[in-house]
Amino acid sequence: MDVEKYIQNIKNSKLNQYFQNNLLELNPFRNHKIENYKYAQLNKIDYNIAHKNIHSIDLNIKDNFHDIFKNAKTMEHVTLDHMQWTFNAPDSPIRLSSLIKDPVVHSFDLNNFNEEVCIIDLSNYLELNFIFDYSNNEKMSLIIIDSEINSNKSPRYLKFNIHEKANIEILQMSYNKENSLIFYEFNQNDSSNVNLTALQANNVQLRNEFYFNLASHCSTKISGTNFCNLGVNDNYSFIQHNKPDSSSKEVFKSIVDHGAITNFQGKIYVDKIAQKTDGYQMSRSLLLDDISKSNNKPELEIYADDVKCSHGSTISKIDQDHLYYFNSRGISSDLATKILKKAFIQEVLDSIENVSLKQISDKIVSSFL
Amino acid sequence: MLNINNLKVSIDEKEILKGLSLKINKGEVHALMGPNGSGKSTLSYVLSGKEKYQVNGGSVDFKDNNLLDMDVDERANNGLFLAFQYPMEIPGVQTSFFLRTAMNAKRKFNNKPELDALEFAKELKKKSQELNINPDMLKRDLNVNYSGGEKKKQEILQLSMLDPDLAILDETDSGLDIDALRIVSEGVNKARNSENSFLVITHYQRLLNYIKPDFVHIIADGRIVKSGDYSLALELEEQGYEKMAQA
Ligand SMILES: Nc1ncnc2c1ncn2[C@@H]1O[C@H](COP(=O)(O)OP(=O)(O)OP(=O)(O)O)[C@@H](O)[C@H]1O
Ligand SMILES: [Mg+2]
Repeated sequence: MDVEKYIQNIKNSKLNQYFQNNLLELNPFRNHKIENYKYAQLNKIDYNIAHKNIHSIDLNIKDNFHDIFKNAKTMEHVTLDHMQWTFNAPDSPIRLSSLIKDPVVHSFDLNNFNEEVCIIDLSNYLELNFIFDYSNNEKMSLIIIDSEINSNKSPRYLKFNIHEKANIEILQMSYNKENSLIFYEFNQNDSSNVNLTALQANNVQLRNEFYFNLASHCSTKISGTNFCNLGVNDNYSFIQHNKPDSSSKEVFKSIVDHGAITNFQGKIYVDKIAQKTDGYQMSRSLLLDDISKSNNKPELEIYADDVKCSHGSTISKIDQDHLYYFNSRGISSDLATKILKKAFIQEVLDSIENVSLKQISDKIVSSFL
Repeated sequence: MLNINNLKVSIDEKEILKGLSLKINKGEVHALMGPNGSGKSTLSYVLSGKEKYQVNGGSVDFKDNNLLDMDVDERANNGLFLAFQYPMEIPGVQTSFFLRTAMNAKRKFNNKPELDALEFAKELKKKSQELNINPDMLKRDLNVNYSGGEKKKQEILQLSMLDPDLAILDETDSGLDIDALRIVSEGVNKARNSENSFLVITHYQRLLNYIKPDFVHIIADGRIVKSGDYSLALELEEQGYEKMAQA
């Protein structure tokens, strides 16, 4: 296989081809020469060491959050529609099967949930891949839980078809994971809204890739945070504005300590017909010690001339003057640091709209920070 | 309450305080006045325990303990409070949450149970009304986008909530409008009692019309060069530092 040719291929391809290639070639080409794997962890992590550090925090959502979710439906309540990959559909990642063990994709019509909040616990569906459809313009809130130690070793694929004018909020939580690689693909049709919040904590090796495909008058909000990592935490996002008048706003905040590494690579692509695109991207990292690392890499690729796009990236440490102010009011440095960590990611937590989702994310955050 | 004896302090090898002595008893209010750069803020930072200030000599006793041995938070919990000349902005931390955390830290230090949410809310409402602080303000991030005067008021709110034994006010009056100056002064006067003490740093005699000091000290070049009663502030207002220093 030819690396140069592969890179060229990525450059020329639209999202779907790109995605297919990426999946197909992922293993042989986990190579830093490929731009979106620039910072990816290539060597195996010594899990024995990581295991010693892994917090034994039991956050079994269903047991601990009964009160919050008494009105929520979990996926077990709904019958699965099994289907084989349709090899002729132009937008399906046809060669997924070469990488993912189970070639069966499960399709869900999220409209059937008929509840304000719905939970999908991926640990109940080991190694399965999903296609979700949502078409209601009433906002639904979905929680995706990715949390099992020592389980799936192969990548997973979750695809969302968000139909015209549909409105969805998603809280994606990855925690206590030894190893996880998940691809999220969102195909947003005209005038659809997606608000995705990613909460990642206490993971050894995690990589999430988020692909957004936007039609016109869409809005996309992605807010992510990760903290208490034990190894390498990777997030890659590719937001593709294909049609005019859509907006995307992405904020990623990482807190890194104990020698962990966190990477963020985000790309905004604006097609030449996607005029009046409003794109914003910000990645910030808070380093708590000198041995931890953070790589943030924003990318813009813009072919339209009437657009508003901005991006930024910062890496900082706890402000000693802030600590002093807390101390001068009798608050210990330990507690002050905790509060300042929470303050740092508050913007991400504030992006969650649904009250139940807010409560659950607050619980997760306070368990770890 | 506070006994500073021949204190010598430098920062980045530069000597700022050059043998400063000052004694403040329980129930007293002292005013400290002096030209820009004479070391007033340096003194307040050293007393509060800010790092990077090198103490080269002298001693400071606070309530019969060696103040210089204590950590910053320990000093605060022992009853020392500094209202900053330039209060810090803390994004992401709600003002009322900060206040509650500070009060509970002190209560924990004194082996008292935490304040429950209702008690705290009542106290906060009362104290912020006294200072004419809009309740919406307290929901905002601490000092973030507060005006200069609002920040100063916030410091005094913290002071009245934390009820310290010794409060140092570093130019709290600068930046306050005429009404705010009166309100803040009333707040300080209300907090004043026979058990606590104040060190009020100011450039303006006007503040001292409201907060009547028992003693006035003039600092110049890192030393107290003159001490007296309230009339010293009036004299200073008329003559200026240069003449006074020569006298
Ligand atoms: N980090 C520093 N490095 C060097 N010099 C410093 C530092 N901090 C303060 N100084 C100097 O110490 C001196 C005293 O400063 P200080 O802030 O204590 O003055 P002040 O009396 O409070 O003045 P003002 O009335 O303007 O508030 C000044 O000359 C100042 O420039
Ligand atoms: Mg000063």
